Amino acid sequence: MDEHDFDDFYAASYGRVVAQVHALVGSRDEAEECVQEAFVRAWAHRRQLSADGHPEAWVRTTAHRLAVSRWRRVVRGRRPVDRALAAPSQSPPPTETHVAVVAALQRLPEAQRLVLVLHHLADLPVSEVAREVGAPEGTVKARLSRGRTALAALLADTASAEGATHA
Amino acid sequence: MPDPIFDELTRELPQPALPAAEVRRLGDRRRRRTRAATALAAVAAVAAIAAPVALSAGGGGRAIDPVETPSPHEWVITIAEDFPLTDGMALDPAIPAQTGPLDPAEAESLQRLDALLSLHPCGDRQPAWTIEDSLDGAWAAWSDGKSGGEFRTLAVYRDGASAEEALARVRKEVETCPAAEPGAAAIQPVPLASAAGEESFAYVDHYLDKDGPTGMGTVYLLVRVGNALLLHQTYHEGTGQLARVMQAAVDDLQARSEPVVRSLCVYSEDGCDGE
Repeated sequence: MDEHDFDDFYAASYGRVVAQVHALVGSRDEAEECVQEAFVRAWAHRRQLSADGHPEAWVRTTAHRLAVSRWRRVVRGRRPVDRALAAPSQSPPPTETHVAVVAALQRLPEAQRLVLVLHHLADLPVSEVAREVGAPEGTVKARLSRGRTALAALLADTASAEGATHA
Repeated sequence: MPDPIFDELTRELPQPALPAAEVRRLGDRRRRRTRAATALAAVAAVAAIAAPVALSAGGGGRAIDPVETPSPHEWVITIAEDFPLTDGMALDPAIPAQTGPLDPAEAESLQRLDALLSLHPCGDRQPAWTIEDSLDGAWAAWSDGKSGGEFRTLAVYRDGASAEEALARVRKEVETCPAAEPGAAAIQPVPLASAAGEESFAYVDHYLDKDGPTGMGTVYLLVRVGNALLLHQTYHEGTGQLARVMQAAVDDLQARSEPVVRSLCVYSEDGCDGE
């Protein structure tokens, strides 16, 4: 992967991967920081990345792991300084519906949330999701079904609660 | 796959805050730092081995009475860059294994990160084993993208007792893990027999569904030699008498581990001369 390839990959994938990691971890700021760091590591490991053949999956997995790793704990400790120095986010604020969906996802078990995001946001087929999470396809299908049902119920609860508040 | 609930999450995608050239610059800096750290670790390893040798060879020092003050064993606490962690590992030699030093952030790019860096036999949040308790570590991962792949992690502790404790914690957790509820989809760890290195322990995470064991599971083999602990794992599935199938998988894993276990003699109190 040369500079030109990487720049194209970065431009095309950054927003998609942030959306996926945001849905996984529940915070867009954290998602953006982790995805940025994952792209830095992707360039540092570009040879491995090229051989891997799934660079976007590599970045997504790295960013997600960073979000739950000790790297995050270290960065959190530095956050006030980082924030002062960081470039301002280029992104518009998320819509209310967006916030509601992400909040509902956070209430699901992590295993269900992960397969929902990989399947519906990253557009991976069930077989690929199974490979990425290291679970049998049948398990992934069950998690997808249960997760989708639970998510719909949570969003319906949210909508009815808001309706009651607004009435 | 399209789903209206998720459409909202991709309606307006964020733009990068940093230009690509800056990301590359940071990546280059990171790569240089990693190389420097690796070189430093190698120097430290040489120093750790060389220092006692130099001390014992030096003639100008105070005479030491070997009877009164037996010198403690100098454990090797680093993993050499060329340690043959992948020996006997790849099922298909055409596809090389990935390897790396201990850097959880580096290994985070691997799909089986959790299993490479920590073990949670009973699914608890607190791991029964984590590489963070070791002084040095290395990993190797092999996958053809179709089978479950094969993974090894090597952890080195400050002494043999620490490695023994680490292995004992995993054994105890597996042996005392509560049984899964009948009819529930679950993962149930089951201990299996093994005999490798100075001490070893094997178990399988049985995948259960409502009808019981599915015949699928991840097989784990932990081998201790001196202050080193090797974790070797692979996904396995088979038909027939389940305990026999999984024991055969452990035996196979053990056979494939033999070359690397032999190389672990550098961590043994007896060294490699006794072979």
